[in-house]
Amino acid sequence: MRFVIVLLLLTQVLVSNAQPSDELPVRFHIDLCSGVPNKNFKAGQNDNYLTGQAKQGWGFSLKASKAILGNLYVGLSPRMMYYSFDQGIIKNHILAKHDNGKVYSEAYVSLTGVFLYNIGGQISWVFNTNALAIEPFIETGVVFAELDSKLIKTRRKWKNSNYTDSVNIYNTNPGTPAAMYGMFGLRLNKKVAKRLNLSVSASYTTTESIPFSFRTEEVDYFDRKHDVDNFTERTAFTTIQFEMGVQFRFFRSKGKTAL
Amino acid sequence: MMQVSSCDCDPENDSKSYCVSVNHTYVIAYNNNGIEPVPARESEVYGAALVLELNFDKNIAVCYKKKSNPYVKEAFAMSCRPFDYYKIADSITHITISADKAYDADHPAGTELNEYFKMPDIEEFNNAYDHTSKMMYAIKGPDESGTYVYTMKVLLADGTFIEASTEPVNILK
Repeated sequence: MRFVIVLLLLTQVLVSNAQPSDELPVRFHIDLCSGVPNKNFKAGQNDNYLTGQAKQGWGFSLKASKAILGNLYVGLSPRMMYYSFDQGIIKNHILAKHDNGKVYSEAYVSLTGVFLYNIGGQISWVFNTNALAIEPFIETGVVFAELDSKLIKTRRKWKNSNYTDSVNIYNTNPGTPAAMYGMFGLRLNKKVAKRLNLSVSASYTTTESIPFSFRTEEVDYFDRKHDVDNFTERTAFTTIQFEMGVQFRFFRSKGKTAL
Repeated sequence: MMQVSSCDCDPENDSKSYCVSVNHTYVIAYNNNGIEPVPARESEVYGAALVLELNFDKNIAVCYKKKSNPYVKEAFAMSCRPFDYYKIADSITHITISADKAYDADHPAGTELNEYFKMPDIEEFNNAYDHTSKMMYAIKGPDESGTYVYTMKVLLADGTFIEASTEPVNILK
């Protein structure tokens, strides 16, 4: 954690105070992101039936980076991603868990995904070629995860009876859980104007596992509530991520002061 | 057609109130053995899966008296605006369910069986905005299997009542 804070502060100072020059430009990146979940975040690949059933993700990122030594860049990067969950898998898990063989069940799953908010520091090196700039990078920082719904509701109806009840699963985390993340990847930059690059990148990201706590409650036919159990799912948000966007390059041209 | 009118018009009071005219009522038995209730017809219904649907054909009107006008003494009845939300001031006060056979040792034929059904709040029947039918879900069935006829008696505020019965229903214990 201390390493990340130092990295972020260093990045901030470098980006904000350094005078851009032709040799040491400042870049601002705007990217659209898509993500493919992996490992215990991928739908159908794990036992975390509520928080580990992601299908795909979308989002955007901003970045400010500054060359500090030749082609060595440091940057600061906030990012927001939304990963949608496979509702069918969540529903089937819930029904299997709460089906006692005497009921018809229907799950109304209001949990549809998770928001991941990242803030991290990035270090990269740019290899210039005639056609492209190739930029491998590593990034680390903090990720905050927030489920888009705190309640998953399931209704059950007994066979040969009017009896119905519901099973409610509440996410009981008091706040938005946070963890460290690490990322490495490769970016390709194509200069399309004097101060403008197009860029695409692919990266591999993983986080520390985050504990999500849940409480299960049954509401019977007469609206009486009974606590059933409490459980925790630990999910590490491992993804392969693709970004595409533009970079604005700011530098002092020779003999001019304009950026 | 049975017609019972229950109106709360007060000729001495300069205010409006609401009336209901229940022209007709009927009861349908449903079989809720499966996922959704279906009309029972000839099927065998588990006692705890019986649903009785009470249907009304009712007219709603506003009764209004202009006390300040000395030339108008009568009360007027006007149709309500569509989708107006209001309560009927004086209308259905109680609904009773009974069967033509003994249900158990404590409930001989003809006695009230309301405690064995999930009954809607009576005010729901007196709401013009609401649907004109209500489902009553059985909580418990009779002690013996057999063919039962259920009767629902609707008591109105003026002391009159209307009643309707189901077709015979094959109840399983």
